[in-house]
Parts: sequence; structure tokens; C-alpha cells
Amino acid sequence: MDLKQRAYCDRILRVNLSTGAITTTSLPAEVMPLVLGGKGLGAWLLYTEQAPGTDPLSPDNMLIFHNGPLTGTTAPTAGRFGVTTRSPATGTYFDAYCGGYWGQMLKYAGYDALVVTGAADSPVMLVIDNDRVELRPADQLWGSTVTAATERLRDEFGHDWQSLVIGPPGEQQRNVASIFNETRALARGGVGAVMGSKRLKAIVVRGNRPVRVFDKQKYERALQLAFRAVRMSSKTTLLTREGTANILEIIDVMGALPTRNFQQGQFELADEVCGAAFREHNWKKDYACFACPIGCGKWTIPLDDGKVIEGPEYETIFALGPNCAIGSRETIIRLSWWCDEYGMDTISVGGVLGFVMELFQRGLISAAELDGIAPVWGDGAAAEALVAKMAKVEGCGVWLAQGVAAIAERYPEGKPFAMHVKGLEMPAYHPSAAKGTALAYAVSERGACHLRGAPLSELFGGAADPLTIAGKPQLFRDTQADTAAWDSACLCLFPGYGMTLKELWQLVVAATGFDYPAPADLQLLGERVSTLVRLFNVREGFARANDTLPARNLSQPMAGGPAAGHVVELEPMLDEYYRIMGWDHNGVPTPERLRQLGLAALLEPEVG
Amino acid sequence: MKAGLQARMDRLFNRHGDGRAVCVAADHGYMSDVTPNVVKLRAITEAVIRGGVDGILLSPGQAMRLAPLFQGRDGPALIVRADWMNMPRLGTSNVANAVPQRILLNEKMITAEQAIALGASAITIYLFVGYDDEVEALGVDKCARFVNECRRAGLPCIIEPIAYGRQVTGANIVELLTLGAREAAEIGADALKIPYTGDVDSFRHLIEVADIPVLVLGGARSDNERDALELYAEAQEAGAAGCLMGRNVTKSPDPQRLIEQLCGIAHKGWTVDEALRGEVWEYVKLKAHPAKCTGCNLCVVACVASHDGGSYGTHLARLRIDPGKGVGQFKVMFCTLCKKCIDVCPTQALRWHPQSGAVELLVERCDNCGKCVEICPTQVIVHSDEGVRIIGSGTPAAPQKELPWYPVVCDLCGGAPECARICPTGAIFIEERKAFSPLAE
Repeated sequence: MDLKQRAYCDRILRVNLSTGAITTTSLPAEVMPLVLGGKGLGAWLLYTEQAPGTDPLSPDNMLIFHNGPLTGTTAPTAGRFGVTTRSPATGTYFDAYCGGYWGQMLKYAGYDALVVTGAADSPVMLVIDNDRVELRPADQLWGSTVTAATERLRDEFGHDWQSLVIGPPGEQQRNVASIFNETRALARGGVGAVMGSKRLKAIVVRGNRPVRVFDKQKYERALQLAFRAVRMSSKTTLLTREGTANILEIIDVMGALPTRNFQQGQFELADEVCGAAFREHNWKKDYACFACPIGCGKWTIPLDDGKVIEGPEYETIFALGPNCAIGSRETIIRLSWWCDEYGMDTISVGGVLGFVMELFQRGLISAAELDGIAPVWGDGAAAEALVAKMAKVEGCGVWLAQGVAAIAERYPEGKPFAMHVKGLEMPAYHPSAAKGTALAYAVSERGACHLRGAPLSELFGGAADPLTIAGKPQLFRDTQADTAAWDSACLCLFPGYGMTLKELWQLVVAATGFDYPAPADLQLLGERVSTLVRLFNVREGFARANDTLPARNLSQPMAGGPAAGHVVELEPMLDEYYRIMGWDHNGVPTPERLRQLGLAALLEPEVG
Repeated sequence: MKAGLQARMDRLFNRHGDGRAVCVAADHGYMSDVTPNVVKLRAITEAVIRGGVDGILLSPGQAMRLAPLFQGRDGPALIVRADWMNMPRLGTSNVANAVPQRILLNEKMITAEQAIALGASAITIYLFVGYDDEVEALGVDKCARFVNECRRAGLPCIIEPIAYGRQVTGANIVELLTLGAREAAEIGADALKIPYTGDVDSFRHLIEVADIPVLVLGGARSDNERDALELYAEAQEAGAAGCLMGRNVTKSPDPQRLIEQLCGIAHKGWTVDEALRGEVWEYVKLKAHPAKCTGCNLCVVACVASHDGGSYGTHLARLRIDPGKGVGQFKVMFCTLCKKCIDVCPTQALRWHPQSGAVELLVERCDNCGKCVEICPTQVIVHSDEGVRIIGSGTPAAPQKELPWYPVVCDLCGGAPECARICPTGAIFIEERKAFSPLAE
């Protein structure tokens, strides 16, 4: 099987920063039809090549960048790429995805994946120009912000190159650090800290290799259907108009908009920070990632001091707005600017702010411990001062930038309302008001995450009553498998608000020629990949006890709104979910299910 | 009542004697937002009637108000919506009117006899598949009773299966719709209103399984005017008896024209292209609205994919997106047919292509002096990767030579540029190039 005729490059670039060795290997041909690429490929490499117990910030931790078979073509959002590593924040398998313009460049340079291991003695950058790959000193760039580094690289290399950089929090291995391609981020879980631990400041890439699909005619036909499905969808139309923020109002109406560190599910100033308000007052132009027909990104009108951001999107608005009781759009933009400029994850930073504000509200933390800053709910100036501390990694920012779980270790009385799972701060859907989503937060392979199968359709798709647990494990299982398939094909999830798995399947089959007789085979692939990452976490000691939620969700009834009085009935959902997945009572995949998924034979040496 | 049923079926499906009906669904007003397509219902109804629509689906209240428009022998058939549901009020597309939804509700608001009194030729009711067993059982019961009521009154009953709810996934939606179609037929529907399954083969299968006339619905409106026509043409190819298209028509800037186009496809055998353009453009040129460009580069990859062996990439594209100055200030750079390259070429190697009117390279005349590359104001003439060997007889007209590279110029894809076709925002589009003759210039 010639994978080069099946939309792959059939090359993995491997860079060892300790030795300086740069090599390439081919793809595992017999594995590819089972994992497809993207998430599946990253999970495969991490599971089979990384030694159990590897410290996330040690040189041995693999930092794997990957694209997918559709990357670089005209498939909707075909510029997407991802990163897979072991997270310093969660200790779990961790994957993050990003739009922007870097992913297709790696593919055009001729690589399906880039595996970085080792650690350099002094700051370096990796320069990939098709087959010419080299490491260069980056002392000059070390310490610079994301924008400054990006602009310097653009000046030095030119517009036909794309860069990935980290900011100071990444360099100093903070858990809130992300990796940025211009305004877009591989975010959450401290993936930027892993890059920083390797003293890798930047990766620039340029390429001009073509991508060849298996059946061009069939692929073009599938593209036509996919694009039409995206265009003929009111949900994608709304994404174009108001970005992801279009859902803020409905989430608020459903009582699921986390407010004041999840003490409430509705925000009294929701109208001020919804998509329509940003559209009317703050946004001036749409931004699209590579090959994206939707364009959910928005450029803001400059603030008084000239600060401009691309955003904010829904999660950022929630985290830096309602979660801190901040109802000023300008303040949200300003806080978001700090995160983007210095390379931090807005959800985690907002989670930290909300947590610290509640600690302060309850008198569990003093201004003195926060370098004199008194974080009162809704105080934009205090929030900005704290974010600046984290951005510059100075004073209290040094430990704040380690995330909610780490702060809760310093202030154990805050643990019941430390809103994280497995060390990852919670995203913008209140689990107590969305039970299927709660299950996803508890179980997800990377901690509290809304993008690893959370059935958000229970909130804005009307798929089911969000307040019941009936049927939710099955709904989560299906969405999780779909999402894993989508991430393995490495497309953004948003075309999926118009396309279904069927349109994705048509694209994948035409591009790769792999034998997937029906869309359900892609769903099976998704379940296989989800199970593979579960195996990684099991190997690192994760089990049922870790699939949990903060006490706030499990035992403190919601204060008001449509979900008033609700807590998450987690245990029965876990039981049913494990049963559906073929995992044992402790959440460990059974050998029988591994055989059914075709994993047992592949993992023979490991599983036995 | 059999005669009444047949007469009403004919009124809907046989106005043109071809068994096809182009219908408009304009029953959104009581379920979704009060958007312009709902408020201006009278004007829209009049427009689609002028366009020759065969049937219009209305809520009972609007049917009462707009009844005069349906009168007369040539008036369109009235279809009445029998039920209400809360699903569209959930706020996916109509946040302002959103209500939290805990469970799917569906109420019947008119009887068959009342519909006939309004002059209806058919009535429509939902059938939900895939939500959960209880909702599905209730729906089947409601539809079955209603079909009987319609049969007694002699009113054709159109069932609309909707795959919706937690059992619906991308992997099973086609199977669920197909099942819903058969279920509706078994219950006793006279016709179906159903979404397109996305491709001709699966929709043909659905229609065969249902074995009753099928009207395809349009779904959400697309800004690309080609989408609705293409969707209908494909559904018709699969065997659909017509369409019941809603927002694509009612939210269209020109509902009358869209109906004329759909009727052309349904009743006159037009192709999508014939319906779309209405006139033949002999030559085209590319134009741009740079303010609409989001910088996604789909045009660039599409350009490469349609040339040079069909691989995807950005290298050797005949257009590019210039990042411009300031954030998001993209410039779309393409061949403007300015003629500077043709004029500057010392060997007359460049000329207007006699068929497409694009710039054409006669490579045997080219000395790769590079003057065209230099002069191109938009810098979209690029060096080829590989050289070319010209094997002529050796005369000045047919030389023998080897070029290390040659200029790659935009060929307008022979008259149907891929960049304009794929652009999602209309930032690049084509216009007619009027009063142009390649030989005269």
C-alpha cells in the first residue's frame, strides 16, 4: 500500500533535541487504517513508544505534532493540526488541536507528524524547509512574547513560512501555557510547558509538496457534498455571524453558563457579553483558518490603547467574563489580549481567576498573598493585574499559572470548589445543568473537556433533556466516538454542525481508499482511538477514582435557574458508560473489548 | 371520498401533467423567530405565485389570511401544517425567541375537515424518529389517527419524518430517515416531506423504500444560490416528485426568481446551469470584494488542485492572498486580464485564448525572458518547476530549444474558474466580460 497515493506523506520527522539527531521514519502502514491519523496517530505513537511513568517535563516526554489525511486539501478546515503529549497539568495522555495556518505547511513540507524528544541545553528553534531540517539557536527570541516572536520570525523568514511559538509562561513550564500559531493556539494542559521544558522556542516550517488523494473524482464529489452541508446549516451560519459566542444566550437561558466560579448557572449581564453585543460593538472583521468556509474568528476594533485581538470566542468570554462576574466586553478583550500575547490558555486562566476570587470571597486568601491585589468579583483591574503576573511569571503569578489544581493544594479548604477534573480547569458548560456533559468532564481522557465527546447537543441541539441522566452514557459514547474520528481525520469540529459523520466518511474513503464500508466504521475507529488513550491513562495509574467531579457538582445543589436543586448523579452514569464501552467496574478496558476493536492484536506485546 | 382525495392530489402534483410539484414551506412563523421571511409573508407568497409555484405550506392562521391568493383555477395548491412542535424554539437558530426545552413536544392544531374548509389540497404532520421510544410511539399514534381522519375527509396527508434526538448520529441518520420514510408509508401517508440524504444513491433508495411521492425539503438557507438548485436537481434525479422548500426560498433576496429556476428544473428539464444563469456568458473575468476575504486560501488550493495533475497544495497557484497591511486586510491577487504581459512579450508567446479569453502561453514561442513575470501588476505569473523541451523542425516558427522554466499563467479554468466556485464568502466571483473578442484585440 503506497500511502503517498492515499493523501499521506508517509513520513514522520523525528527530532531529538538532546542529541541534535534529525531523522525520518515511515508511517506504520498496517496501523493507519485502524487509527487514520491526527489523534489516532498521535495516540498510537505515544502509547507504543513512550515508556510508562515518563515525567511530562522530562526530556523523554514525546511532543508529537500531527496533521491528518485530509490536511492540505480543500476539505473544510483542512489546515487543522494537533499535538499529543503527556500533560504536566493532568499527568494523562493529552491532545490539543489548532486551526491557523501551520498544519498544512507541515504536510506540504512532507510530514504527517513531527516527534520532538529530548531537551536542548540552550534555547533553540526548529527550522523545517521541505527536506532541509535544522536546529538554530534561539537565545535572541527567548523571553519574547508570542506576538513579538511571531513578528520577528516573519521578518526573518518571510510570509511563506508559518511559525509555532511559546511565550514566557511556556518557557518557564507553567501549566497554563499554550503553543501559538499567530492568533491560534494549541491550548490547555500545559502543552506549552512541555515545549518550554525542551527549550524549544519556535518551529518554523515551509513546504511546497503536493498532497495526492486516492480517488480524485470521488473526492471532489465528496467535497461538493461536504461544502453544501456546511453552507446549508443555520448553525454554521450563526458561527459565521457571531462566532462561537452565538450560543452564550441559550446556554444562559438553560442555566448552564458557569458564573462566579460555577456558583451560579446564569449571569445577570449575559446580554452584555453575548455574540450579538460583540458583533454590534467590538468586532469589525471575520477571520478564517486555512481552508475554512465558516470563519468563526473575529478581529476586534482596537481598544483605546491600540490592543487588538482575534476573538474572544465563547469559552474565553465565559472564563474571563461570567466566571469572574465581569460583564465588560472591553475588560474581557483586554484579559484575552494578555493571554494571547504571552501564550496562555484562556479557559485555564479564567478558571484560576474565578477560583482565586472565590477563595478571596470566602476569606481563604488575602491580598497580601496576592502581591497586594484584592480580587473582588467583577473587578476588571484586579483581574488584569493577576493575569499580568501570570503572563510575566512573576510574584504570585509563578504559582497561579500552575492552574486551579495546584492552587487548591496550597489552599486545601478550596478543594470542594476547585473547578477542575484531573487537573484541567472546567470549560463553559455547567455540569450540574447538563448531565451528559458532566459525565464527559468526569471521564474525558484529558480532564474536564467539552471537546472530547461532551454531548453538548443536550443543551443546544435539543437531543435530550439536559437534566436527566437517562440515555446520557450512550449519547456520550456516540459523541465521543464521532469526535475521536473527527480528530483523527484532523478536521475542526465546527464543519460538523453542517456535515455529519457520513460526509466525513465520504471524504475519508475517497482520500485514503481505506476499506470503511459504512459511516459506522468510522465511529468504530473513533471508539478504538478513545479506548487506546484510555489504555495510556490506565497504564499511568488512572482509574475510576479519577473519573470524578468537584464536590460542588456532586453534592452542592445548584442555587438557582432552570437547574436549581440539581447535582450530578455520576456513579450510575459511570457504571452504564463503562458497561457500554466494555470496560470493567474500575474503568479498565477488558481484553475482550480490545479484541473486538482490533487493538489486542496490535498491542500484543504490551497487553499480553 | 376517494374522488376528492385524487382531485386534491392532482391539484398539488399534476398542475403540469408531469407528476411534479415545486412547493414552498412558509410555516415557520409560529415555531421560530419573527424574521423578515415570516413578517413579509404576503409579499413572499405573491412573489412565489408569480414565479409559478405549485403549492404553498402555511400555518392555519396564515392560510385564513392569505386564502384569496389561492383562488382561481390556476392558483397554487394550499398545504396546511397540522401541528406545532417546540424543537425549533430551542434557540439553535433563533436565540432571541429561545425557551429551554426539556422534552420534545408536538401538538395538533387543526382537523382535516377544518383544513378542507380553508381550501387545503393537502395537510402536513411531523413524525419523529430517533428521539426516544416514548416520543416515537406517541408520534406514530398521532400520525395514524390523523391519517385516518384525512382519509375520511378525502384530504391527502403528507407526513414529514424528522430524525431528531439522542439516538440520531451522523453514522445512522440516513438509515433513520429511510426507516422513517417507510414507517410513514406504512402508517398510510399519501406523500412525504423529507430532508435530502446528501447524495443521489441513498435518496433513491429512500424513495424506493417509501414507494409514495416524495417532496424534498431544503433545510437552512445557503448564501450560495447554486446549493438549493443543485440539491433539488439531485433529489429529482433520485426520483423525488418535487420539493417543499422553505428558508432557501423565503429568505432569498429574490423568491420569484428562485421558484422560476426550480420550476425550470422540475417542469422544463433545465439543468442547474441553465436555471442559474438564464443567459450565456461567452467570456468571463474574475472580480473581487477584498473586504469579504477571510484569508482562508481555499481559492489557492482549489487552483492548484484543478491544474498540474490534480494534487492539492499551494505551490504554483495562479492566484494568491496577499496578507496586506493591518489585521485582516487581505488583498486577493489574481489575473485581471490587464494585457500588460501580452503587450510586453517580445516574441508574441502570450495571447488571448480563442475560446476562454484567458491569457494563453504558446510555449514554443517563449524565450523565458521573464518580462511577463516582472511586469505582472498582481504578481501572479509564476515560474514553472520544471523546464520544457520544444521539439520543432528547427525553423523560426517551429524552433528546437530547451527552456529551463516557462511562465505559468491563469487560464480561468477554461471559463469556469475554480477559485470563484469555492470561495465561501463571495470575495472572488466572476462577471461577464462584455464586448470582448479575442481575435479583434
